Amino acid sequence: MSNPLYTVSEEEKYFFDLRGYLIIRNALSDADLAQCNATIDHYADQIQTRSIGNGGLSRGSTALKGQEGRRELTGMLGWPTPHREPFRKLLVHPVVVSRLNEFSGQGFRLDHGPLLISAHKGAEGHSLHGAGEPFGQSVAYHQQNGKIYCRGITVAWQLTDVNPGDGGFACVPGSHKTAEPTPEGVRSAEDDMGLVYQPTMKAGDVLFFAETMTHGTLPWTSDGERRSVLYKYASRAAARAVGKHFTPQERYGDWVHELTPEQQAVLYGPGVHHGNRLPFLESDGQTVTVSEKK
Amino acid sequence: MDAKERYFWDIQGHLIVRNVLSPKELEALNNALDYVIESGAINQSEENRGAADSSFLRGAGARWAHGTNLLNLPKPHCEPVRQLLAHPQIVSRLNVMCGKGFRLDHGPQFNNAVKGTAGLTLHGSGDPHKDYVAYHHQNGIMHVGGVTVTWNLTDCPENKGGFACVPGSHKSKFPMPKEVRNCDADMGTVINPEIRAGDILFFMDGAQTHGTHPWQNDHDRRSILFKYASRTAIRQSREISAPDIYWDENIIDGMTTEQRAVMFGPCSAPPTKDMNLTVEEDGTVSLTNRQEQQSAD
Repeated sequence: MSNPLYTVSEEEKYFFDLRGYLIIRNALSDADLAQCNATIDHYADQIQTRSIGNGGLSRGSTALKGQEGRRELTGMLGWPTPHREPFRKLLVHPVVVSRLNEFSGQGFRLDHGPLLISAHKGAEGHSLHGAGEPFGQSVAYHQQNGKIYCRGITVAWQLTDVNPGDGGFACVPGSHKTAEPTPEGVRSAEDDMGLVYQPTMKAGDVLFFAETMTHGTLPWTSDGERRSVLYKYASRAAARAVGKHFTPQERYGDWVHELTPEQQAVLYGPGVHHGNRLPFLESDGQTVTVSEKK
Repeated sequence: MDAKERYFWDIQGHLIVRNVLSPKELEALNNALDYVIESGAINQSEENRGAADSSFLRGAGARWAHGTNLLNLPKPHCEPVRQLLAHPQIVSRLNVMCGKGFRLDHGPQFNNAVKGTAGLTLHGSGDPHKDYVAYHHQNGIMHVGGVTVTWNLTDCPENKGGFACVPGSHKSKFPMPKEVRNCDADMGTVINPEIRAGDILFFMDGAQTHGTHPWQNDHDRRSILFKYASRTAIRQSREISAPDIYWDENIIDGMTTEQRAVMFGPCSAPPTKDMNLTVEEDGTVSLTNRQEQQSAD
């Protein structure tokens, strides 16, 4: 008899299509969970706390503000062995592969991450972002003839419990399909119209969410530490991170220096996380110029 | 790109802009292609390979194509081709079709045909959905993953061969009938429009159904195709997609084949199946093609 952890049920597909997220309970064994937490403890001195200056991730929201920033740690896949092993195991965990084959298609790929998001009591939230409108091609959600096409999907492994009212991950179920702009009060959670939902999760659960679904973080109120490790996957031919080969020179070689800045502008590699390095073009039909606006 | 062009593009899936190139520009481009042909750097495809099982598309002459990057031809031949790369007439339209930040995905490539050259079976459509080239329209803004811009250097009279397409097929949600694909019974859905030397053809590559009808004219067909994509869509990039190239060494070092499978960079036409994973009922994750190989053994 097949293990339901490793197969995607029709009910799961219905739920993910309807809500934009899915939680698989008890996906991680106790041993794997303990190993992940022990490894995070080992690297605890490398965890960075984000500044809450200039509005922080709460973007000035009174509903999301906190006394300190969220805590972050990266680089797990490149740590020396044996510390990297538990996080490499999560990379292609059967619970993940089975769901992503269904939601993003075979050949799905890691776009960026993993990233540990941690919080202590009083940590600020993160203003809600993502939505079906405006349409975001890099993470677009589509369903056609019984098949799901989710270009950007995040898998968040829970290493500690998230109880009702604790804060942490929050979302607007169904918002991956909206074609109307998100009201500012929903983004800031100051007037969420009853739409923002904070799911309860236990250590060892894994959360899948469509990046195009409106999501963010509520301030952390628990005495316990929040620990969630996020892997950012994409479908085969979608790119959010720009990778190592982004500039025209990196992709084509030195001969591109012979081209004008306007010609070079269309030779950059794919991706949206380019840190304002990408020149944009304007044309009136007669002349082409590089836009000042990034 | 005015409202009439946007309407036509949205409803048809292609757009022809007339008389963009001057006779002088046409001459320089044709000289560049003469150089390519005379230098012998031509890939000549197998006769009737593109026609597959079609009766209508079969021909008597070879289909010529050239895969070299025309942007990097020796001077002065690269110059007229480079002028096309970010031409004002295409930037103004691709900013609308694909959005700002559109990029050249691959090409430019040179397509050539002589009288009798076979056609190419129709390909691309709204179904099955392909997220990287899909067409979407929402609240007055269009989003196209892949647009091919074809610069025509010789005349293509209507119904005499060359580019053919199924208008509206970028929105289709049903499988394409085989007889439409091979044009043997196209249900009146396929057109072979007139395109003159100096015109530009834009079409939704991968979303709109398109292909080539056999070339019936005494003069050669000559066109240069630039394959553009929106900012986050990838149509090829296979040469830099390998995990060892795409990621830093310490990230990839010591990974299993299954872990490497999800570390390939983005590309739509992968050169390997080593990125497809399957999960067994007991939770074992393995490469799909390894399983297929074991089944064959």
